Amino acid sequence: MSIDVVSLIDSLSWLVTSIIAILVVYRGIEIGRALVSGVYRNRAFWVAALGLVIFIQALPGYVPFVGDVVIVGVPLFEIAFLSLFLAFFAFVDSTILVALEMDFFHRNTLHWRQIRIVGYPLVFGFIITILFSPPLTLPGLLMVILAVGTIVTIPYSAAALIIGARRTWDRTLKRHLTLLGFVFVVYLVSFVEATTSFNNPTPASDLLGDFLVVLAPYLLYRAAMTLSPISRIEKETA
Amino acid sequence: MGPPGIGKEALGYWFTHSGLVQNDFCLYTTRLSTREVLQDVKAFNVDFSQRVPFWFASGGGQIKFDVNDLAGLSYNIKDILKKNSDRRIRVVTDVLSSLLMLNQPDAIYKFLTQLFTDVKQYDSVVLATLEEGMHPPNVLAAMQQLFDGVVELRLYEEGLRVLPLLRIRKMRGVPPQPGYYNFSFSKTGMEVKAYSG
Repeated sequence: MSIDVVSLIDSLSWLVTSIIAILVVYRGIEIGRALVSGVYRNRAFWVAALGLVIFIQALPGYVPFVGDVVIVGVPLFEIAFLSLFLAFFAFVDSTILVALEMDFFHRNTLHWRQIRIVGYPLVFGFIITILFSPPLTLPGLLMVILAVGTIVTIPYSAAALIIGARRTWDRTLKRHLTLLGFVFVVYLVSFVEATTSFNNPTPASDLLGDFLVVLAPYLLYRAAMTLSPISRIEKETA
Repeated sequence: MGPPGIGKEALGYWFTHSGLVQNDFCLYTTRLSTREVLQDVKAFNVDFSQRVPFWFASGGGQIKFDVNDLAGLSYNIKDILKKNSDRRIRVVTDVLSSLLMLNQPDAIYKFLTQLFTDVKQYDSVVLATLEEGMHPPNVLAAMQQLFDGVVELRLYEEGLRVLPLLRIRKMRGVPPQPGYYNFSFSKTGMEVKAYSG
């Protein structure tokens, strides 16, 4: 496969990611507005917020000049990428708290109530340090991000989400949480793939990366849609 | 009946509230504790501070509800109805799905058939909520067959918009109502309007 085709697929994958992310935002807001129960409304709005962050983060992938924009001396793509970690952590935190609440025995899954107290300052401090400390080389910066993100945040969150889902009696929320767990597993695999192929990218690794970049928001979209079944209006009876 | 979060409980709260305002005897049978229900009720602006239903709840109520004790459930409801037989009665319950999850559906079918026969001796209305995604279609069909009326709340797609709509699936004594209705909850109750999509 020629490099041009791989490059085209790469750009298209970010475009598709953005389109799916916009759908996630739209569906999340629409479902949130339609639901009455606070738990489900909040889940829908949180999914919409995460979709928005993914959309912003994907923009530089196919709109190059967006990546070149600098805010307070920091490239926009760097801010977008790092803010993804905080958004993920806040999203996972709110989701796991709901899962703990819905667990009949209110078990403290993977000591999340303690982890979250340490987690917020850690993630926030990490982002601020990276953004405003003396410039790191891009590979070095990426390695730090990937190390912290991969080793701590994502797998731990995914595990807590999936265990939380298993302990929830509510089947709708169980499906929703399980899909969210898979979203984070896909991001984990994506980050590992990006790290391992960073210095020696091959067309196959690029294609795999593109596939994972699209798969994660797609699963998020499915997660949004599991919050409530949506039927079609039968026109002859409407 | 409808999926979680759509507003079935809110409908139950407002139905209870409306009964209390009209001085009906209202029995609220719940798998939750009264504290949990009262907390939830506040989110829908329903005020139970002045007029309070008779609680048959897992905690904090006049009678303790045990989801595994069908005989006790039946006995207590009949006893309460008998003691208030001089009034109009409203029974609101969220225990149906829990009962179906923890017991054989045919046992619940027989239990409800007998209970409804007894309840119909009084001037009473039973409003039960049913979680749609929790039961197989044959169980849902059996429950629909058992009740005199079935109101379905669901989300529907209209172009790109998502709308919460209500349908009357069945109502004994009323001609079939095939249409859809918009519904929403305000500070004064549930508002239902014909859908003109």
